[in-house]
Amino acid sequence: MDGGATELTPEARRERRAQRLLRACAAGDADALEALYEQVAPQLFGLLLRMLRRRALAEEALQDVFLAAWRGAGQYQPGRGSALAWLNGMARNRAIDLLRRERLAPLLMPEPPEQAAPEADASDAAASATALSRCLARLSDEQQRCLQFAYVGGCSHDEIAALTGKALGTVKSWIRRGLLSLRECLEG
Amino acid sequence: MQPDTRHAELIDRLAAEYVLGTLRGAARRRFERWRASHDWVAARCTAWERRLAGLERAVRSVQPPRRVWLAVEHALGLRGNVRLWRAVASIAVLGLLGALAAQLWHTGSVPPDEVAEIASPGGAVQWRIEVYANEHRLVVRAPTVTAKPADRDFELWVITADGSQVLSLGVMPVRGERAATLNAAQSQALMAGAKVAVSVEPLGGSPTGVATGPIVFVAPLRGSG
Repeated sequence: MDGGATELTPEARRERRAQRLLRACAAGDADALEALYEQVAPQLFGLLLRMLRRRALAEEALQDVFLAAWRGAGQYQPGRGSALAWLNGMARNRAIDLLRRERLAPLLMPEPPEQAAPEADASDAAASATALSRCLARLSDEQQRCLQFAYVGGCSHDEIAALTGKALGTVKSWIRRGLLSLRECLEG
Repeated sequence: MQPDTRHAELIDRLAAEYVLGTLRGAARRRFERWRASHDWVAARCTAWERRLAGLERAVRSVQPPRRVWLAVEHALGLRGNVRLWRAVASIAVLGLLGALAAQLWHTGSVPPDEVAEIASPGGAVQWRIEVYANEHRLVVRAPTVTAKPADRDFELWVITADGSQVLSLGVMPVRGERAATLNAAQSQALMAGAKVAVSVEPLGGSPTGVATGPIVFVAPLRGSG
C-alpha cells in the first residue's frame, strides 16, 4: 500500500511522516518530537479526554505519552505495526492505568460513536472503516454497545455491567462473542 | 515458536480484550510482557488494532493546551530549549551602552588575574568575567544589555580544571557590572584552566545549588597578562 510516492493516500503519508519522526526522535532530535507532537497530539488528546473524562487527567496522560514516546522511540519496530497505532496504543494504555489509579467511575454515559464519515479518498483506512461498520451492524445492539463502551469509553467489564444494568457474566460473554463475530466477519 | 491451536485461540482472545481495553490489572501487565517478547503475540495484537481502529474515528481531535508541550519539553530538558535560550540571550541591545562600555573595561588600575569572555553567536561580548585573585574579588561586566525572560535569571558557574567540581558564582547582571567577594572554595576553583558556564535558572538563581536549567554558554578562563 506504500507504493509509488505519488499514489500515497493522506493516511499513508501521515503514517510515513510519523515513522520518520520517530526514527529522528530515537536519534535524539528534539525538533522531531515537537513535529510529532504537532501532528498527533490533537487526535490523542481527543481520545484521552474521551476515555478519562477529566481534562487535567487527560493532559497528564498526554504528557506521559510523549515522554514515553521520546524514551521508547528506539524500541518502535515498523514491522510490528504502524507508528500511529503504536502511539495510540500507548495513549490507550496510559489512560487505562490512570482510570485504574484514580478508580474513576464513569462520569457520563459515553456517547455512542458517530458513524465514521466516508472519506473523500478511497483510502485503506476508509475501506476498513466501512468494512468495520458493516460487520458491527451484524452484531446485536448490546454487543455493539459493549464494544463501544470498552474501546471508546475506556470502561472495564464491571463498569459496562453497571452502565447497562446487566450481570457481569453476561457482559463478558457479549464482548467475547462480539469480538469473535467481528473477526470472522472482517476476515471472511 | 508457534503455539498449538487451542493455545493460539486463547492468546487471540486475550489480544482482542487487551486491545479493546477490558483486559486489566495483573493480567494486562503479564500480557504486555508476552507481547514484548513474542513476535506472534505482537502480531495478534496488531491485527486486532487494525480491526478495531475504525471504532476510534468517532473520537474528535481536540487541540491540547500549550502547557502540555511545555511540560514535555521541560521534563526532558530538550536541546531545543538550549537553542531557544541561546537565541534569547544573544538578543543584546547593542549600542545602548556602547560608549560607556569602553570605559567600563578599564576602570580598575590593577589588571585582573583571570578573564573569561562570553560572546553571543554574532561575536558581541555579552559578559566579561574578571578574577582578582589577591583581593578575592570577582567582577562580572555586561557591556551590552542582555535580553532575558522576566521570570528567569542567568547564573554563572565555575567548573574546575579537572571537571570535578561545579560551584555557583551567583546571578549574572543584565547590564552594568556586579562585583562579589569570593570564598576560599570559589577562589581555589577559579584558577587557570577552569571554565565558566552560564545556565538559565529561576529568578534569584538555582534553588538547589546545582544548575537546574539548560547550560547556554561555556567559556575558558585565561590569564590576562
